[in-house]
Amino acid sequence: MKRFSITPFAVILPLVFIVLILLGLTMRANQGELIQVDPQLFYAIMTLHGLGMAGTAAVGGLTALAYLLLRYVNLNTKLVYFLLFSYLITVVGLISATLLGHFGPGWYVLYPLPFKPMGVWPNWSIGLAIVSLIVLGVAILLIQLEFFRACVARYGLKNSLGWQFFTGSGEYVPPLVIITVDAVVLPGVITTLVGAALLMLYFVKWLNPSTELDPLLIKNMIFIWGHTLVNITMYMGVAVVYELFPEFSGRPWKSNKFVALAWNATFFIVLLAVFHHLYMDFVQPLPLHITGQTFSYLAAVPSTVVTVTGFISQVYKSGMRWSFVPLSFFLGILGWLIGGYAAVIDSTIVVNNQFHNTLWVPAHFHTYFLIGFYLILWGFLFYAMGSKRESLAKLGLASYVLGGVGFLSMFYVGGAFGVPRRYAEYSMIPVESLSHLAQILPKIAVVFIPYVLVGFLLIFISILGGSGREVQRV
Amino acid sequence: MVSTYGALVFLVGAVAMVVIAAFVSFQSTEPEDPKSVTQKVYRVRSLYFFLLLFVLVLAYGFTLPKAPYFRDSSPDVVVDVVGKMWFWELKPVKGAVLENGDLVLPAGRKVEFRVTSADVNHGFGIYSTDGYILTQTQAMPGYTNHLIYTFKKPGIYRVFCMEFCGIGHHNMFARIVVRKEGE
Ligand code: HEM
Ligand SMILES: [Cu+2]
Repeated sequence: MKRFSITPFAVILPLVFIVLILLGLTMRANQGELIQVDPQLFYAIMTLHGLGMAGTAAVGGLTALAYLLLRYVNLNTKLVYFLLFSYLITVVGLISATLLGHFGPGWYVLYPLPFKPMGVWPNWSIGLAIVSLIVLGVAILLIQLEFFRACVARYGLKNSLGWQFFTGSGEYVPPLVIITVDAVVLPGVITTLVGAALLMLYFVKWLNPSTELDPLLIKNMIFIWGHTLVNITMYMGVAVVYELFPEFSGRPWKSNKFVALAWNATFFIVLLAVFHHLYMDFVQPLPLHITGQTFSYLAAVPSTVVTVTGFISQVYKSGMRWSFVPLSFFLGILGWLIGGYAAVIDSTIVVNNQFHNTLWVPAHFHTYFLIGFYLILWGFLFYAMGSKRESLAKLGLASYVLGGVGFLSMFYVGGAFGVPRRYAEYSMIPVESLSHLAQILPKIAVVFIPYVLVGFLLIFISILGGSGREVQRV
Repeated sequence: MVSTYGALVFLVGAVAMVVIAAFVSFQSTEPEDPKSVTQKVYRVRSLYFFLLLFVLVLAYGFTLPKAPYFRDSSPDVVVDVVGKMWFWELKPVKGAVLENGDLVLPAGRKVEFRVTSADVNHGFGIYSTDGYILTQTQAMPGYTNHLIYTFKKPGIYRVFCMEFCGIGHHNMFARIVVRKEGE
């Protein structure tokens, strides 16, 4: 039996999260003209906040998956610690590049903006940011490969993919969480390799500035990597719920043909919906645009028909007790669905023609992260730490969710009225009514964000109330 | 406004989800045999599956042909657009003029914008006189996106930058003056 301590993860990830929320608050306060932040600093903060939140989510999701997989397979736990160690290096590197160097091309670093700083960020900050991302990317790749190796070693390739249901040979059925190999681990490995290639190209460009890269090709690579990483992070959250919820509902949640089919389909959906990020690049080949809308729409099928109905069968008339963990999972799945629904609407090409890069975009992804994935992660950490501080955690949850809904609503309203995203200030907008609205919404958001912050502090304190429970080997 | 419909469709769906979630969780207090629950859920599930497919196919068939790639060409007016850090260069090619630095276009005519960039990615977004976004395309260096749009009403339209392009991004606007033809 391997010993694996969740405690360092349960301390470090929430601490970084708190700092990142404070950065978010700073941005919203500046957009509402409540404080004055220099645009150079604003965009550096924006870049750090975005990369930090996406990276922290991925590391949290992989950690949770590692913890759960350890129940069934022999993982090399050193790689999970290595992930945390690399993450810390990356955090320090990115903080230096952005807050000291004012590196600020946004979290998806579209080519060639990082290399055209217009005197704002120094050359060292570009190199430091690239190397920092490579450090985390390598650790993510290694842990994903280890997941794959360990699952296949215990269950065989066919069973790990859930294919025994299609060949009808009635073999041993592995636990549900193993099936995430389909929708999480495989797409993750494939696209992390694309990300590695991208970072290598950027590194070469940094060493040798006369190198010319193709902006459209790079944009495709960026989203094949970034979209997928964010997407599989969401599915890691779903996998946590699949594995742990039955302990609270008292009802088994088993693999069957539908579940296997859904997660296999998700493999393709994850990889092919990516192209909805490039709808407004009209020169992109038409079949890719159509692929984007087709697979984005299809994403609604397995997630709602299989996962949500499975989840409803867990809850409906179960007689369960709603302690903090199932409550955070329940709300997390709801946030995942609502944010996903907003995303599917935006993945309609005609709609995207107006929503693209308006506040609708941060509206939807903040929904399925803040009140989706991250809620599930907090529930998981509470569980894995074996905390007993129920009422404190629930109080925190109420504040966090209420504050979150208020904060998100301002993004949605902004999106509905076409307020553009990533504007350090809205006072320059030449249409009076829009400029006015764009500055009022963040003022209201700033009232709600402290509720998220305080709520999260309470949740964090409750998580720390546990001492870490041993992984139960099944 | 397409985006207004999008936002309304979202609102209705999101409220429905919250209501269903509340219903399911309130029902969780009286225990029932899991087998009979599963059967009930399965019945609703097959109904839901076909309903979902129906809605998706309908939405797909209805919206896809309206994608901006299919607005047929042969424009009356042609304008070259170049995004630069941090301003727009709008060059009339056919059927348009520059007046005191403003691009002047006729109302009711099909306009083709040939959009590119001289440095980094920008986004060419057209906003109406009262501040609603009408349409957009990316301005990417090395590529030219062809955006077709017909301005129905005369007035002063605005160009916003819709792709983050560095510290001047929030201050990268231009004006398009649309006049009744012959004025
Ligand atoms: C209360 C918590 C949070 C606040 C107040 C906040 C605030 C913000 C704000 C104001 C922006 C800039 C929006 C714009 O004008 O484009 C932003 C962007 C972003 N946020 Fe958050 N956020 C929060 C939580 C999260 C979470 C949980 C995630 C998880 C993934 C996240 C990921 C991002 C990303 C990826 C961006 C885009 C950065 C970019 O455009 O380069 N945020 N956030
Ligand atoms: Cu720009």
